[in-house]
Amino acid sequence: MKTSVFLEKLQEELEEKEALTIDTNLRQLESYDSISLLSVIAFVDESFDKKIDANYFKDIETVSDLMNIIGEENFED
Amino acid sequence: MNPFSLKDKIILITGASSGIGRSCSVECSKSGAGLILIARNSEELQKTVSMLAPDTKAETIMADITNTANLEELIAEKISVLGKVSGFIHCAGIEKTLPLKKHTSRLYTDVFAVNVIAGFEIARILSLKKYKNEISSFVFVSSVAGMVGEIGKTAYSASKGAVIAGARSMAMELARGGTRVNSISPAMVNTPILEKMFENIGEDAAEEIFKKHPLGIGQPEDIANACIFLLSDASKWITGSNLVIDGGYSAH
Repeated sequence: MKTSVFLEKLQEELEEKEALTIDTNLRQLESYDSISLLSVIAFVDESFDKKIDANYFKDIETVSDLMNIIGEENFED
Repeated sequence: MNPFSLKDKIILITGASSGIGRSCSVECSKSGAGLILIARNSEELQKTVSMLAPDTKAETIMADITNTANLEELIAEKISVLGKVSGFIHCAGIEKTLPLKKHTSRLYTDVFAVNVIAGFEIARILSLKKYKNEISSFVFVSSVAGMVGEIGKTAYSASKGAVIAGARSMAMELARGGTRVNSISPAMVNTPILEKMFENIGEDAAEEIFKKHPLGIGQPEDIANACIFLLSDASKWITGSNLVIDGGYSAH
C-alpha cells in the first residue's frame, strides 16, 4: 500500500480531522483509546491480512511504529 | 438416591471439545451421566473423551452445528445407541470483541448462528417425545454480557441476551411436557475463548476486566457444577430462570 493512502485510511479509521504523518504520535490523538485500538487492529487485519497482538500496542507511539509492526515490505512511497 | 446425581441420565453437550463444554462433559461423567458430545474438532473432542470418568457411556458427533440439515439424523442415531435424552447443555459459542463500526451483518449472523440458533434447533429436536425422557432439563450457557453492557460486544451481548430470553419462553412452552429450561450467565471464565480475547484486547484492557471480578476469574468447573445442579432432580422446581455465576461481576 502507498504510505499516503495508508495515512488517509488510518485517519478515516480514527475519525481524525487533521491529516496524519508518519511522525504523528498516536497516543496524543483525541480519538486514541482502547476501543480505537481495536478498530486499528481490525483495520490492519482487513487491509494487510495481518493479525497484530494487542500487546504490541504498548510499544507503539507514532504512526511509523505502527507501520514497522505491520512490516515495511507492505508499504511503498 | 442423591438428588444431585446424574446417574442413568443421558446428556447431550455441544462445544464439548474445549473450555466450559469440555468441563461440563467431564463433570457430568463423574456424576454418572452417559454422554452425547458434539464438536467440530475431532482431535480435541477425542481428548475430552479421554478425560471422562472410567466406564462412561459416551458417543461423539463431529459436526458443525450451524449446518442443521442432517443434525436430527445424527442425534437420533446416537440416541438409538445410548437411550433417550434427559438433559442438554448448549456450550458451543463464539465471542467477538470489536468496535461497533467494525460490526457487519455477517458478524451478527455468524455469532447468532452458533450462540443462539444452533442451540435452539437442538432443543427443538430434543423436545420431541421420540428423543426425550419423560423428565428432561435443558441448560443454555449464556453470559453476563447478555445482562450488562460491555464495550465492543454488541453482537455477542445481543446473542447472549437472545439466549436468556428464548430459554425463558421455551421453559413456558415445554413445562407441560416435563422439560425444564434454564440459562446460566457466567462472567469471565478461564477458557481458550478468554485467552484469545485477552490477546485481542491487550494486557491493560484484560487487567481492567479482571479487576471487575471480586472473586477473580472463574474456572470451567464452576460453571459445570451449576449445570449439573440444573440437570439434576435437585432443581426439579426451577425453570425459566437465569443463574448468574460471575464471581460478583454483576453485583456492582
